[in-house]
Amino acid sequence: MSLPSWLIERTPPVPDAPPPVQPRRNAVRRAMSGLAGLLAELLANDALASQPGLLQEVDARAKVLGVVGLIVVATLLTALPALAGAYVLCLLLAVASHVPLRRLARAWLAVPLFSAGIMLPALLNVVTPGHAICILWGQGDTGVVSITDAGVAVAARFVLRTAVCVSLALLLAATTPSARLFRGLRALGLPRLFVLLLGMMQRYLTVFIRAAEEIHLAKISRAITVGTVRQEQAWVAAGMGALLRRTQALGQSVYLAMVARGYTGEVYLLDDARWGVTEWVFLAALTACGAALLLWH
Amino acid sequence: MHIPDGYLGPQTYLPAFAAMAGVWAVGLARLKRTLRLRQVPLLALGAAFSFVIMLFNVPIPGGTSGHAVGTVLVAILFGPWAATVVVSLAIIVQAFLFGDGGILAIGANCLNMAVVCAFVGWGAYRLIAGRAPVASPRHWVGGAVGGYLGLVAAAVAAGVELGLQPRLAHNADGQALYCPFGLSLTVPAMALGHLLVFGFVEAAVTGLVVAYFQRTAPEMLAAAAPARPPVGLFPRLTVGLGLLVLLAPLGVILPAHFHAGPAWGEWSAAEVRQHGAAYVPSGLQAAEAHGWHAPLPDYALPDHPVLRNLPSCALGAVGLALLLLLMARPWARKEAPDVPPVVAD
Repeated sequence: MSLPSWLIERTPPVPDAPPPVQPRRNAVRRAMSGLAGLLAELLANDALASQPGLLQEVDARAKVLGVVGLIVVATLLTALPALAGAYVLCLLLAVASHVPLRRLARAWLAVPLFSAGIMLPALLNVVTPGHAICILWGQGDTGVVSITDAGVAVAARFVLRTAVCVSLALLLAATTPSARLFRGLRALGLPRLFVLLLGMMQRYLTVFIRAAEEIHLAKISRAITVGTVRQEQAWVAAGMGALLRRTQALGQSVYLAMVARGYTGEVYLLDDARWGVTEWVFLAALTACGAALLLWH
Repeated sequence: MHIPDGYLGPQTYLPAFAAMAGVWAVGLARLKRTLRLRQVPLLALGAAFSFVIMLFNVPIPGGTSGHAVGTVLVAILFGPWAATVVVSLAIIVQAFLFGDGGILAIGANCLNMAVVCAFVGWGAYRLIAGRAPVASPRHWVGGAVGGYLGLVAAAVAAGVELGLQPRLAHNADGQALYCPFGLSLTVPAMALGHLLVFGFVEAAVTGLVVAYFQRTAPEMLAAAAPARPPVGLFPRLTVGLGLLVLLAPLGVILPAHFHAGPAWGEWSAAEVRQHGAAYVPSGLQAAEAHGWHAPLPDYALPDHPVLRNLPSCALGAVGLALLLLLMARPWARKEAPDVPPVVAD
């Protein structure tokens, strides 16, 4: 038996395929990426919060009081060494709580680096007068435009303080399960109704993120190309409208479920009865650190 | 728009928290009066909704895209007070869970986005939509204008808060301790971007979503329109008087601004001399020397060209209001029997 001729025939070699064209990331894909990132962050926080560590061992109420107290202290500090000390304290807390330092480094990308960018004009004598340490334009002792020592101090203080505040907020979020975090806000005097609403909102946030993802995925899977700006804007509006109608339908279902469980309008919250020696020691230690930082300058 | 921690000093974030505590208290009290039980979960879900719509990317001409805040949209659909609570919840979650906006800046961020944006935007929407039928283009036009104005007003408010920092907090050398840029920089910086780009994104989203509901679910817009009860004479008079009280400082600020002298003829002995009078009446001199001395002469408290008169204005307005209330009590008591008594079955 012989092979058919068409199988034996040599076909001309296929020319190299052109390099794949990177599809232009349109608004829908960017939104999808944002939604997925948000969901990933929520899940990563809860995963980290369930691991053993110093901050994970402390009750949410004590942690909220202590960390928010430290943020207040950070906003009161003016001396650069004291602010640097506060940042070292953040790093120590992160290490003791097994929060990866690259996570803290990522927090730098969010706010402090942005703050450093907008602080660049503050370095200059036109915004912050002072002794010139680097003349950028002009001649003489001060030049026309120069970087001043006072400008550097103002910018460094601003960026360092922002970094301390952002890092502390990140430590609080990364070491506390989100459901407990909002119950912990009772320690700051937040009304019960607010805490209930925050807890419900946090629980349904993932549902809504998923719903928004589905809306975007449906669009991507059905559209061959990107429409005009007007069409795309109309689609975004319709997506928001659809999500709102889903909100109302879900709100009705949640209400019926609450009524079925005995809801009469009174708000009851589950209180974690975990406040013990650990919490007192934790608060005392943070208070001592805060006082030391305040006395530093 | 979300101000992070470290940008504002305690001189700003504490008053902002105090102001928001009042707004939340009033908002929750109003919602408790008007909200049905079934709407409580809707508030929480509405907060999640307002959070998620901020993640929708809106295409902008030129190939890029931006985010809408959605506060005015929430205010149009839920009412301004509900929007205040709903957007505040979203801002609190953003600060605590995602580090978007500072924890200590929650008060200021809520003031800008949940109060200024919601009320300015909703006010503009109601002004334009009026009592027009739901299908009228006035609704989506009102939504678009409201979205634009609300966002720009919130941005200007944030710019003012940031720009006040160098005046409110600086060290002995005059170095700013928080945001170092003054009002002349922060207000234009915040306002320009929102006036030229983001305001139009917000306007497009708000107008288009309102148009979407006009076409697909007009009953939702109709339900959101406030039922307007007849306003009595007393509330209208109170509002009018309140506006006049708020405008009263103009009477102090404008003369100081234009360097106007004291009112003609209301001169002291020294001022009579300054006006080049041939002599000072002896009665005027005697009254100044031995007559009654007012506790706040010239309505003045501390040494400030403009602010010195404001406490006196406030004191005078409050004092007069109390005096009038006391004077009105006998009439109020007399009118009481005219009210028909409630008869039990």
